[in-house]
Amino acid sequence: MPSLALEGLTKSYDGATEAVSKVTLTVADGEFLVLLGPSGCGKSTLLRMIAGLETVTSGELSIDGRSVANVHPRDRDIAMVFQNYALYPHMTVRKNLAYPLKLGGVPKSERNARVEQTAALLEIDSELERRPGSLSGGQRQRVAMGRALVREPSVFLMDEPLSNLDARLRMQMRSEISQIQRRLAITTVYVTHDQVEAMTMADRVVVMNKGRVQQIGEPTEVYEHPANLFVAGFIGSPPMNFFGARCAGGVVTVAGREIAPAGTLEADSAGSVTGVEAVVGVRPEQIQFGAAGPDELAMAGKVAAVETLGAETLCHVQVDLPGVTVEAGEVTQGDAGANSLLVRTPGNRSDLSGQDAELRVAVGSLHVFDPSTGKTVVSRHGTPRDEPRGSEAENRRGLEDSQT
Amino acid sequence: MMRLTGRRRAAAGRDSEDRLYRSRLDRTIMTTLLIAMAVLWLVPIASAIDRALVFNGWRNFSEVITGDIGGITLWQTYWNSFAIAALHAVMVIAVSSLAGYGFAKFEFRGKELMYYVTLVFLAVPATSVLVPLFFITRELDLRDTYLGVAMAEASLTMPFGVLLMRNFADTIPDTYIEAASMDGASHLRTFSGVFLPMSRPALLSLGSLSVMWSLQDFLFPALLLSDHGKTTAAQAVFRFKEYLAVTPDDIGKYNASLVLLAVPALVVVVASLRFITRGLAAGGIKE
Amino acid sequence: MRSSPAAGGPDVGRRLTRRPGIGAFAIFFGPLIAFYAVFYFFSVGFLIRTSFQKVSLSFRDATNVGLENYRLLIDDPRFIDAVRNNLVFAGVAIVAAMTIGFFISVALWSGVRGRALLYAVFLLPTLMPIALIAAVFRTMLESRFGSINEFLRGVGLDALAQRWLIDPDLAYGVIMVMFVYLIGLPILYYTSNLSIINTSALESAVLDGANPLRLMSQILFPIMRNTHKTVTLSTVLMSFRAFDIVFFSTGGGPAGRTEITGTYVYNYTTSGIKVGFGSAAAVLVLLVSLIVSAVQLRIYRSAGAQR
Repeated sequence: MPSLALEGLTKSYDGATEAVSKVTLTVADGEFLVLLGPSGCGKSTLLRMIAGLETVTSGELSIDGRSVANVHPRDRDIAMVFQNYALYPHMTVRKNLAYPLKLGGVPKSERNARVEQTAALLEIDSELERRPGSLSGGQRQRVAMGRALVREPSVFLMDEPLSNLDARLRMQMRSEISQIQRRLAITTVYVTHDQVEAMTMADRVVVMNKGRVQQIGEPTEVYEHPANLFVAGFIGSPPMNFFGARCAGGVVTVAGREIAPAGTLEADSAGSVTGVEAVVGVRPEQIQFGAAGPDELAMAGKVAAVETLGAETLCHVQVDLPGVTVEAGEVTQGDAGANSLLVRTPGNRSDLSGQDAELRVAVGSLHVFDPSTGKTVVSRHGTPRDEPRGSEAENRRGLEDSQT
Repeated sequence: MMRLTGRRRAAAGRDSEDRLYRSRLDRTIMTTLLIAMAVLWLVPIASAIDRALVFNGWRNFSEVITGDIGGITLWQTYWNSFAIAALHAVMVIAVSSLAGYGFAKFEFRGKELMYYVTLVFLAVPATSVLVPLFFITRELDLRDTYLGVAMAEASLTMPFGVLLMRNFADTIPDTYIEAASMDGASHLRTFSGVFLPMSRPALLSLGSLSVMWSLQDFLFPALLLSDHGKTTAAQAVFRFKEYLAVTPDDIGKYNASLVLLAVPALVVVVASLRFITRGLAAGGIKE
Repeated sequence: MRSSPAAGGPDVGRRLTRRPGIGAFAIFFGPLIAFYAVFYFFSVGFLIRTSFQKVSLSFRDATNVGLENYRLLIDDPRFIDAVRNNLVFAGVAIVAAMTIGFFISVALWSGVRGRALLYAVFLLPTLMPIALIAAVFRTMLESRFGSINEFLRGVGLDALAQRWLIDPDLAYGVIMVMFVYLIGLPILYYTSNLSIINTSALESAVLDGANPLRLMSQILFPIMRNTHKTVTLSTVLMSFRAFDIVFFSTGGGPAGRTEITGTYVYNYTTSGIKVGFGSAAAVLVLLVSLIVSAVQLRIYRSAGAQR
């Protein structure tokens, strides 16, 4: 039985626009589900609906098989960690942790035992008599988690819990939260706008935009087989490169080369958006310098700018491909003129600056999108040729076929 | 604004030094002007103290302190003032902190209209409601009681109290209320266990202001207290005059009494100036 | 003015935890509503009723006189004078606040030694019982034994020693001086807002070599325009509440020269007989205060919406 089930869950503030639109998903017992999306995508609203802090406009919501849409938050058997932690500043850590138990009528001795146990789990047992104001950011984060965990809820909700921490601490807390979650096997719904958190922590990711679910899947699946332009553009840093392609008779061609066979893109929808017939996407790490092989697309360009990051180098290469502007999953401008591709290459390659360069990219690693709907029509994940292609990649390709 | 700590305020002050001046001369001129004005502002106070010492010197003070003036001692006026001020503050804090929480954290139809109606009485002059307040107090049988005066004063302070408490409650993130709610607390429990402890700065401001305004009030004690034994310090300014400013000889004593009657308000204001200024600033229209 | 999301309408009640039940509503708003019901709604109704009556402070044997009280009121030159004086004193106080008060605040803010002490000197009189301050002014200006005249005589300026509170024009001036003297609130508003302004414009003007007076009048003064509004409104409201200033110094005299609405209403109310007439005056004063409050709230709202 799923721990948490959402069926057509919708939230509308004014009856016309929907902040959350028909979300259907289930969360398995013990699963770590991450709601990911840009700010304003409805992910926090969705979480708050699960928590009971927002009313449900329509749809079904059940926890452990019990419908809870009209149940008060305190009776839903859930606990939540807030973005600002919401630790009571006038109570010691011990009292903060004990507060939900005290309100729940848990006897004092048991209360103490559970507080101690939770504090030990989170390694804050030495801070129990201190007040939140005197704690570091990381400690506050732990106390906030402790206050939620101490209730032993059946669903654990977290609303951007790491956004107030500095980068270093965030990295540390990422792995700690994951470990604790796995250890306790507690069903968790975690909201974030940070894709690194989603990629590293989630069992499954729910990518949201404009109140709608864009894709649900394991982190690698979402990365390698984005369901549409939005997911393709949102996941990945630096982001995926997009450029325009021709689509004659349903055959998508780039630089005169066929990259998707006839029938993949319906001719009547193609070309309907600002003169773009098809959108092709490629991840920066899939493009390499050098002469193209048989299964590869060749492009000539000039390296306009180089950003050296130490372990790798990002090159902005001017190429002769029709540019397209993709914003929030929609093609907003076709034929943006000269196009620049971002190429991610290992090592320090500052020597490339200003050079003419030949680029190659495996045809199999190109994603093709329908510009009018934004949907992915071809998604094949290729790996650079100099790395052996593992069976995993082959499996994925098979998986992708079955999906479409 | 309310939450600006004293230290930060001081730091901001330090930073502002020398912003205005090109030279030491500029600064010297400005400082001289400022001090000259401060001296002017001190003239009435200096005059009162000077007059308080005429004819009999410090004996004027000791006679006022120890004597019985028109049926009441100075100490009794202090006590009366503080009793009314305390009752007034308790009433204002109780009613407006509840309403402030409600206005900030509840959602219901007509809330903003209700808030607007509450605040529109923000500036009612006491003189304009003397007639009905006299009638109400008489009907409630509260004439010549501390409670009657405190309630009348509280009615005028209440709109400000609600304004201050709602403004403060608005600055407390909703997540605290939500967290408490998820922890299983009712609204009343959240109010007493989370909101009130977190509202200490606002409550201190409102409490200090309520005490101060009550100590300033002359009208309601004058209207509602005819029993000389209940005379407040501010009211005594008027009553003492009848007994002390009769002969020229008494001028010293009368002025001494004025200086001494300032003591309760002075003590309260000096002790809580920080809370008072913060509360007043928060109640004004902000940039 | 954009309507804020909390202004009601479709999103009301969108949060489960924030819809109060009847019980919670009664607990949180009951005391306030009870207070208002008695002290404002009943009060105002009662006041309006007595304003149409001929009645004494015993409230017995009231006779209905219709609009008679109001007619007498607007025919009473003393009431017209009281309103006019109110406005004049408020005007004087506003001008003083925006000039002297502004100057003092900026000078304090710009950094002087003993700033806290100087601030207290200007602020404290406003926070004391006004009755006391007015009484001190009265004894200070008393013509025979007042310290001002004694000082003037002492330095041989007998000619300048005046009957300050007895000469109508001088008394009028004395009241004005007291309104200026109680300048604490404007200074408080200016000071607290000066501490949060963005001073980059000021700093560049200093670098351009502008002198302090020019900086004050051409840069700081315009920057503070919202504070000027606060100061203006609070000063107007203060003038209607400034009963004690006049009552304890001149009592409204000589011959009604310094009467303001507060003393006017008080005298008729406490005289015990012409209570209906006093009520009519009170209704008008109340009306003005409600209008000024409404204006203040509007400005407050729009300032809030911009944030």
